[in-house]
Amino acid sequence: MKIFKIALGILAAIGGFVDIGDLVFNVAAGAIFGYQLLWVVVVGVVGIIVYSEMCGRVAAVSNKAVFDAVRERVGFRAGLVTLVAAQVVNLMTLAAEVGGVAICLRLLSGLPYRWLILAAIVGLGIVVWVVSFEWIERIFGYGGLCLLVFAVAAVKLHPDWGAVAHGYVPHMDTEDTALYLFFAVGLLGAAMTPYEVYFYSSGGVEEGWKPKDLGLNRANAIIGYSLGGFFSFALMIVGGALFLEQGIQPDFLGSIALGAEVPIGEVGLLLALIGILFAVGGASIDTLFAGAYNLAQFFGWEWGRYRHASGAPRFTLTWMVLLGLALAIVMTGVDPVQLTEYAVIFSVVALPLTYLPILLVANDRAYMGKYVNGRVSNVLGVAYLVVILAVSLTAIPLMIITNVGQG
Amino acid sequence: MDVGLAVLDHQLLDREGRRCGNVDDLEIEGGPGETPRVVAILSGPDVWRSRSRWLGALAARIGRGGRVRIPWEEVAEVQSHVRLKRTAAEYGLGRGDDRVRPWIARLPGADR
Repeated sequence: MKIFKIALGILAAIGGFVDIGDLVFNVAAGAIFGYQLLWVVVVGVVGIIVYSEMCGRVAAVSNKAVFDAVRERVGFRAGLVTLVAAQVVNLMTLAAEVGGVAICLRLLSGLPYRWLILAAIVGLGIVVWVVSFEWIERIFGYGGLCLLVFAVAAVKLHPDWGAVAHGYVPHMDTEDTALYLFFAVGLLGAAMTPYEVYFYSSGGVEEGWKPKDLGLNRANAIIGYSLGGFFSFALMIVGGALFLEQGIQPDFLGSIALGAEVPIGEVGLLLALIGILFAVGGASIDTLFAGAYNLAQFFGWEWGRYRHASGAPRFTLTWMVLLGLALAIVMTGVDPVQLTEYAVIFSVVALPLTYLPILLVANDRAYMGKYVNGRVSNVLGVAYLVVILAVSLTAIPLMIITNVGQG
Repeated sequence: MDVGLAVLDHQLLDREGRRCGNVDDLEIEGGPGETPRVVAILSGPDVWRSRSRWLGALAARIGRGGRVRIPWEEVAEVQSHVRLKRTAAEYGLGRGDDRVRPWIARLPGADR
């Protein structure tokens, strides 16, 4: 039973990790820089593990989710600024994921895009309303495993494994420093997207985690996000082995799926599209709830996805409104891939405000008792905060210099 | 222990464990030379105006105002949340959720 529980948690963590941001940035980074930036994915994955574990531990010991901690630690005024920033970024991400769902549906069915946007929104609304959360996690988790096809594709493309291995050692083999740094920032942002910790910590509170569940929390974070990182590696290797070789810039989600079709054939394409569909569909639901969690926690409303909808009315209303706003944004015809790039870069700017309060609460003995951060968590936590801070200060300038990665 | 700092911005829970707002501000008494003590908890959108001028006022307007004063004697327990002795309705807390509930409850399956 315990193994089963761990497996479910891991599945959820994989589902929460791989989203449209990872798909876009990993493949594009591979297509431009080959395997050079693989090491950045490792840095990002360790970062999300460190902070998710911390958030999960805070949730289990003190029953506080991220935005409870934000408000308590930085106060109402700075907390409100953080909330607004987080909600804007989260809505952009949600819209990008929904757009991704619609694109996958179009590639699978051939029907007109705008109708499929509507279908995606209605479909997501119905799934969230009707299907229990346990099953949502299973369906999207297992569906997302179809992305394994990219690992097969990566092997079948016969990359230069020596060059791949060299990619795990930080190095820069290009003239264009700004573009290299832009992609490094984007990959970090895609790996450490804040909605992952909002969702993860709130889930921990909802499932009533206690200190006895800390082992489960650690296993979920470490194994789940490592596997998520494994998918990222595969995507970047496909990008390097296929798109860089052919000189193709994968500007569409469809071209990412081609990465599986070229080496494997039609089955590869189908599996890739289904995998992407479930990964971005699951991420849509995670971001949708993350937005509702944040607002409810900051203002002290009743919240919870396991509650009856009428048991948490404003929480329910919030996710419905967010779904409507996402519909309006995607319907303008904005390109989901471009929207993703902006969402990831802006999310990097908001990262320090999210992670600092967590680090502070995790160090507070009054709440955490003997479960306060140990030395490893603190050294890593502080190191990552410094990295995040540096990255958040350079993200926007790099975005402008490189014209959002267009060079 | 400095109770004020330990409860400001914390979650309020009523007797039944319902989340019913936050500790948005505190009423503190004590003249010069005396030890200040917390006499009441203030909660509700109107309190936000004093916490953050622009965004707070905007949020207060969206939240349609309202402020509730809860005497400190009504606090049952301070842990990671602040638990009150009676139900939210008795204090007039959680009214926003109460206002929205009938609309949500009308949808089929809302009480599943």
